[in-house]
Amino acid sequence: MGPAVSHAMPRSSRRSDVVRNALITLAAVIITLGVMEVAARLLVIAALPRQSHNPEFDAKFVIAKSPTPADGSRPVIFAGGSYVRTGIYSEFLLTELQEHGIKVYPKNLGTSASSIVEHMTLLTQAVDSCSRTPVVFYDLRQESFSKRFQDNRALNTSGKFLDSYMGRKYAVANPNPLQRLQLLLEDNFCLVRQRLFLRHKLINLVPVLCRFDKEYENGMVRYNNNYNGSLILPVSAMGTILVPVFSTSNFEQFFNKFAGNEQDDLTRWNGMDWSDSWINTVKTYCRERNIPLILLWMPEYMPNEKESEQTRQRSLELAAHYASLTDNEHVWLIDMHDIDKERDHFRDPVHCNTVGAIAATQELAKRLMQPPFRQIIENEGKKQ
Amino acid sequence: MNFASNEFVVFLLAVWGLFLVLPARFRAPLLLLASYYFYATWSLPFVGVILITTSIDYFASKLLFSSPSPAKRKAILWSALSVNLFVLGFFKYCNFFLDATHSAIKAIGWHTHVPAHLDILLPLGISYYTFEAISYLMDVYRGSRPSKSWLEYNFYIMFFPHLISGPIVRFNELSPQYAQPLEIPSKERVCKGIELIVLGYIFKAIIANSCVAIADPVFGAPEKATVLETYLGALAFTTQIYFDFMGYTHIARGVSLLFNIELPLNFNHPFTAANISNFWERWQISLTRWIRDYIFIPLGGTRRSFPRVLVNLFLIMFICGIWHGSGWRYVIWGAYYGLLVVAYHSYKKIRSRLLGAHENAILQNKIYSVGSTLLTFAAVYLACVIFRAPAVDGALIMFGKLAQFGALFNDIHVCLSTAEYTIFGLFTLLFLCCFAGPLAERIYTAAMRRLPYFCKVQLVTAAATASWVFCAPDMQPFIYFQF
Repeated sequence: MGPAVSHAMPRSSRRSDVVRNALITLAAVIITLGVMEVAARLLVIAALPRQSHNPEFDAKFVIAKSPTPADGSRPVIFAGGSYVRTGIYSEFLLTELQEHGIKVYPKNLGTSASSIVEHMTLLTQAVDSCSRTPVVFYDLRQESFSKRFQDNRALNTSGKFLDSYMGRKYAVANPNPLQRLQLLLEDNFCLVRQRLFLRHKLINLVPVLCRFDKEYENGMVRYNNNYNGSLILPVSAMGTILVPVFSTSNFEQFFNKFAGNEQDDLTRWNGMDWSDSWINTVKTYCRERNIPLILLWMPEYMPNEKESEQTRQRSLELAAHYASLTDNEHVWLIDMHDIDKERDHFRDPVHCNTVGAIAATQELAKRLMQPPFRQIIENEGKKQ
Repeated sequence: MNFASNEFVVFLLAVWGLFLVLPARFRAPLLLLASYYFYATWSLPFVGVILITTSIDYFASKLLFSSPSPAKRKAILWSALSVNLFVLGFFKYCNFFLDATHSAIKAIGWHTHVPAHLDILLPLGISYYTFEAISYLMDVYRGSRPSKSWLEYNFYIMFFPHLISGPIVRFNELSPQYAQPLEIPSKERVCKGIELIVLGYIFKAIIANSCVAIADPVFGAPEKATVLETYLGALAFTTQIYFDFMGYTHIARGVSLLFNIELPLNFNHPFTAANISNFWERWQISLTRWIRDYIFIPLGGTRRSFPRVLVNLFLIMFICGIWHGSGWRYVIWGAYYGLLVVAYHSYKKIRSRLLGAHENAILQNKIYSVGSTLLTFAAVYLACVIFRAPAVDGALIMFGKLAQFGALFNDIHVCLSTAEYTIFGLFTLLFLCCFAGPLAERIYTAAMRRLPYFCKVQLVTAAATASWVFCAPDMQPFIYFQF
């Protein structure tokens, strides 16, 4: 190890070398990242199920071109968290309703692990961009009515929180240059957005090479999910964004993880300190603009063995509370929480997977064809 | 701040950017400040612990150097060493001794008010910086010049690339590199640094992190794993710990080079070692060197009688074991390596006597060489089981499984008959990772020499991106961070 001076950069060759090398480096980096981005996109596209569980879905959604909303369609906005995000296919709903003569333009703004601040940001942007008064569907989440949950969410603006996945989503409302950059990259690059999925694929390369049956391929869900102003554009205008959601293969593991953890287990019920301030924000916003608000209680998986007096009590208590939020003038409720008992329709106790989302969307479409919802949607909806 | 995190990359880029634009005389202070920030992101209070110990060591070294009386010098040395060892012992071994005392008192049926556990957090990197402080004090006691200033000494201890998990550097190795104002590194050094960093991330994120998925389920529930899975799990951990630690060292060395400071090599293909002594000359070289220079040689080195040398060898491996952590498995691990080293040196002496002039010819025989390498690897492999097992019970269950050769062949037969070749694919990959190092290095060096700069950058970008993908959120921290 000689003295440091002998390893210093010679001054004479500094400037020209540095500029030349910087340009070469930049070009090489851009080309490599471009190639890797294309490879990542191909990998994600290749992960689409070769054989979908539902041929109807394949015909209408996977194989077919994305449907275009008819002229004069009524905007329908789905806002809220991951239950809506994973449980509602806006394009599928559009096709279903359009076939029955209901002209809608659904947009799913559900965002995983999001906060009310983010919901309101997205909702405001979406409503402002609509030429007609939209119909808003809002995701009801049991835990969000807990005062403790809301307080924690409000307090969790620490560095640790902001570094977390949830924090990064929350950062939309509290912009920080680095987090904004991260979100920008996530929104536009498959390589960034699908990082976990790509890692999963790469780690499983050995089993893929060594096994011949290849049965463990994962199912896919696609949805439109963005965080900034561009989210209001239709999916086709933004390019299709494919997001993998793993099948129910690890379902039991997930369920077992929840077992015994009463604090996080949504299927257990110990009562809670209600706080409606969260939902009141949305209600007030919609009422002030004369926007019809339909609260959605999305499907939950409740296996028979877990059904107990406690869970029944929870359902009754929640149903009563959710009903108390409606007035059937401005605010309605669609309760779908117990429509689906199929284990294979969920990827965890509260989130639908591909097949579950199809079932939930079909059920929702059915309900929307019935009064009073059909009338609400078909109303002229002049913007005020 | 974990090396394998986005925060570290941002931190590194920011510090390097400042390093490049600041005048030379401000670069070392910048690195010192950055190092304190780096440590403070983990724990601000423990920055205080380092400040206190480094100050004591610095002033003790000044006194040591200026004091003419040998007795006084010895007293100063032992006092300073005691402070360092007390701090290390308190944070690292207090709970171990409390637990052992508690268990012993309970075993003889007495009631005790001694707590079995105290809520003590282990300061990050304490094992490493304490050993560096000891080496500095010993060197000054042996006649080396002490640090010119408190800041210079602090830089030696705090320089962030080697602060947490080494390599253990000596003051005389590091200080000449920053004694003069730090210059901007040459292009070759920067390229070498980036190459080491990217390789380090590949080792950690791609290889070591992929091994976690295989090793963790086996070590987590050894009783549930089949014999073949137990073999695979132990091999996966052997590979994981090697690439995890080597990955860290590569990143540390690469980052240092970006600041025009060179850190010593810490690994030299240890799994290709032909005997256990040679293994320790190639595995965590800086620790082995430290133990040799500051424990083995003061104990008499090889100048003592053969039985005494064996006792000393056992002792240094035992110390090496307990240096790694507080717990019975580290005690057993150290004793196991101690016995292996003693056995090897005894065998070596007997072999020399028996073979005489033919010894060299036998040693150079390919079959003997491959056999001894595999035997050494098997010994290390078993040591890794002790090292990783959550408790001694778990290690015993795994050893029980590893000894069931009949069940092993049965498992192999089942896999072959059901065309389930995944496990064999994994075995092959892991063995390649462990043994193909020298060959891979030759191919890599030759290929890199021929590649144009443009392709090199592309390769580095692709490797860095792949590592980043593998660093997805649930990645485990570096194993040696806990020591």
